[in-house]
Amino acid sequence: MAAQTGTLRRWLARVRDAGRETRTRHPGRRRWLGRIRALVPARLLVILSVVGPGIIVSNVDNDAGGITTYSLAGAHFGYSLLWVLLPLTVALVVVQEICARMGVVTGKGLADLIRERFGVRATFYVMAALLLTNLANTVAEFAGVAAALEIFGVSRYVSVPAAAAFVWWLVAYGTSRRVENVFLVACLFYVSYIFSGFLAQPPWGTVLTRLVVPEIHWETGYLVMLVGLVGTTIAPWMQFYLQSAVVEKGVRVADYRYTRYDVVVGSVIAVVVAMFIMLACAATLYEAGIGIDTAQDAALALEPLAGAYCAALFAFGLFNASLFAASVLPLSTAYYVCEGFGWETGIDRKLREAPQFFGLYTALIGLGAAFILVPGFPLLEVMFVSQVINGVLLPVILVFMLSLVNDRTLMGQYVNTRAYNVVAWGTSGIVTVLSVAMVVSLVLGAG
Amino acid sequence: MVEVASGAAAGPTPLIAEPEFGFLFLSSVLDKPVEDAEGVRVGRLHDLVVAMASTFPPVVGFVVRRGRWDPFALSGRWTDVADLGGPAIRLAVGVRALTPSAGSDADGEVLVRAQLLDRQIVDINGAKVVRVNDVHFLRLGRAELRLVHVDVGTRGLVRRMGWEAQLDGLVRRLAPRSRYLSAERLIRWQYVQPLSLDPDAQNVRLSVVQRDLKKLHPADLAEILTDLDGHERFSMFRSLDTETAADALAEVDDPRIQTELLQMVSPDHAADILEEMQPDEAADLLGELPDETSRALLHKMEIEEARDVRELLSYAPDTAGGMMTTEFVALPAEIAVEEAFARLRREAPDVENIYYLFVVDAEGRLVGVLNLRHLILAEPTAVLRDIMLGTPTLVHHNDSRDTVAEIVEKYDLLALPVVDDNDTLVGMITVDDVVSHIAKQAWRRKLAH
Repeated sequence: MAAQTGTLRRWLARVRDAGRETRTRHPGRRRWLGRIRALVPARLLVILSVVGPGIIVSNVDNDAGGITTYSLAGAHFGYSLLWVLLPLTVALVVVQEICARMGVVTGKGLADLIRERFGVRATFYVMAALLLTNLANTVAEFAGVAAALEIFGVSRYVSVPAAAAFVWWLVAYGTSRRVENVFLVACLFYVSYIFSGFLAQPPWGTVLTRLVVPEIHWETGYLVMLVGLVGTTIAPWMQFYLQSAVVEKGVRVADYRYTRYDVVVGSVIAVVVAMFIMLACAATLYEAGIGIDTAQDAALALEPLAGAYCAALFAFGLFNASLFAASVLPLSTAYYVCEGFGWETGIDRKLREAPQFFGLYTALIGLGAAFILVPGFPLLEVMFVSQVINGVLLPVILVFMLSLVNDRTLMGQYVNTRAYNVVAWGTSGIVTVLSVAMVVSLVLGAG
Repeated sequence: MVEVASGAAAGPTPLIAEPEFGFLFLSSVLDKPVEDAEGVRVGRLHDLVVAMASTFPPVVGFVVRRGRWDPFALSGRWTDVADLGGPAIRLAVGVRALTPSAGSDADGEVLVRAQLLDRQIVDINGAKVVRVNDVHFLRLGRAELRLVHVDVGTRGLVRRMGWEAQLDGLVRRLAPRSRYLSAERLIRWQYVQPLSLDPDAQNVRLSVVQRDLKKLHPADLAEILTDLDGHERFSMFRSLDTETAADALAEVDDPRIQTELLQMVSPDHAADILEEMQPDEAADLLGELPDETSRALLHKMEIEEARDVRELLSYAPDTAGGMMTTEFVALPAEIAVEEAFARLRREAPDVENIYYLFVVDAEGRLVGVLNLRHLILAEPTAVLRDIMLGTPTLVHHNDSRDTVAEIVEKYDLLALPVVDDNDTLVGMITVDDVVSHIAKQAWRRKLAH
């Protein structure tokens, strides 16, 4: 208790009704805020208030499955798949920009829009498919956590429940701003892959030429990998997550261009990280002729070839990526299922206000973690099925998206321009063909 | 749900059947085949048009398409419908009587599928934003339909999926007592506030149905505003009168949404809203806005209100000065109780809390506090100086929030006077401004353990 409070006798100097003269001013909240604002350019404040969703969604896409794919691409095909990364960046930017723009202009999530435009049935089947594939993906992420920490000698019976508890706590007790900041920090940790790429010392001259000169090998393994790269980079659930995140951030149409930067920067970072993963494996495993099957194998095989640091960084990257995706996937699923069916959503809601939202989130994390701990669980089959659903669903979602974004009653002047539509439809077409090709090759390969 | 099957009339002339009464869900007639008076198939029922004028809007028209995405549409008046009950909807006219158009441009008419089904509405009673899963009509006579409810429940979703009968059978077998079988979540039409979906905010059609949102508690209204998507939030906010808007805005928790709403209305309207708010709330809100915006708004406000707000803005936000309001009651010590009541009636309408009254002497020095109970129980002729408490509990303008919370908690106060460096009484902090802070502290403590 402060000394001057309590029962001190203080005298009033003036009656309110008597005309007051101006009193001595204290340095007040206006000036104090003004000072802070003077230090930071107004535009930067706006940028900071908008940035986030694009960077997060692109990075989270480099999850356990993605890292495995890039590792395999580098280890088995060396530098010959590098050229795919540039067109991939374009595809990623185009698809995500459409979603971000829809979010800003309509103020609604993708699931909302699909429900309002295509009705309950379409929504239900899309949601059901996404729910399944995301459950399978969540399982895969927890498998990634288990694998990464086993490299450091932590048992999965410790690491997986701990990771699940952390992820659940983050959203149940966080605010959207805080959760987003945690996610952005997780994005920073992807730098570990860039370091391990450098530590592997690839021949930079070769790398540069291979980046820009396309080549194609007409052999099954190469083609499957090519398709896999595209399939793992653009996933249906990302579009839903991105749009909901942009809506929850409440970006104004006037500030939309910053959201566009957000998307472009995020996509570039994500692809750069993918490139370094490929480089790390190409410069070491491919050169030494070591075949691997998983990202865990890659990390273990790196040690004798590129040193303990490189391997540890690689393993840490896998842990970070898996944990990150294990947070975002259930979250995004909870978002769009609730959106589509008209239930309350949002991190800033309390448990009581959004029971379906938190129920779904909790169930996905609980199941995802539980499956890993079941001895003899068919992990590979589950991941495989989830990839197949992803591949089949992507074309459907892209058609929905393009028909919505070109609807003038919905988007007003923000519909796609003709040139943009050509690029967008072209991208969708190529991605669709590749996705379907991936599914076919997976099924044939499995059969 | 009772659905009386009508005797489907054989032959071209419709029988004037007995009037039928019952309920009908939109999902049961949507996409049904439509035949004209000759029995020629026209297409499928795509949409219904209702007139918004009355309490239970009557269906006045319909839209037919060949397929759901077929751009070609025909529309007609509902009086041309002969029979709803059969496997196909029968018209009383030939196909040529229909006009090629896909809707209704008439004012006050709404397309049920395009503008209501699957859209978000505000449930005025539950003060929540929900999605319409189905629409419920009352059937009066042969083909007169009136919109009575919207269905926002799980049953509505299941019905739209076309699984109602199967799922009901399954649930009956497994759990005959399940609440699912009886739990219809129907909202009466008079408690439904449809939300405009027109992205072009210039011609928001919210005015089609304007529910009395004033009846809602401002906190509920604030929650609805928070729940809505951008455009709908804005159009609803714009439709509120100044006082309601001010009350709701003060209750919105998220400063980002508060500032967004305030910046979306015209500066003049924003200034009016700020005037209606308590000065401390207005100051908090203005503190969140960019400098030049808040300067411009202050400039537009009435001198009196603007002065109060400016004064409050001069205090740091996390101190007693930043929490207080400048609306309080100060009474001279030498007046009698009667006179005090007269002054209260004059001065109190704008004051947040009049349970505590501050007493000042002729020089304007605080000599004590009174509460309303003292005043009421005292003789009308008694002088305030003789009945007041002479040792007021108070805080300084630069005391921290935590200090304020501690004192309010310790002494169970409803309001607390604030003085500045010259010991001038500058404001009062009411308990509601402290409660949220105390609650936050409690949470922090809880999480720390």
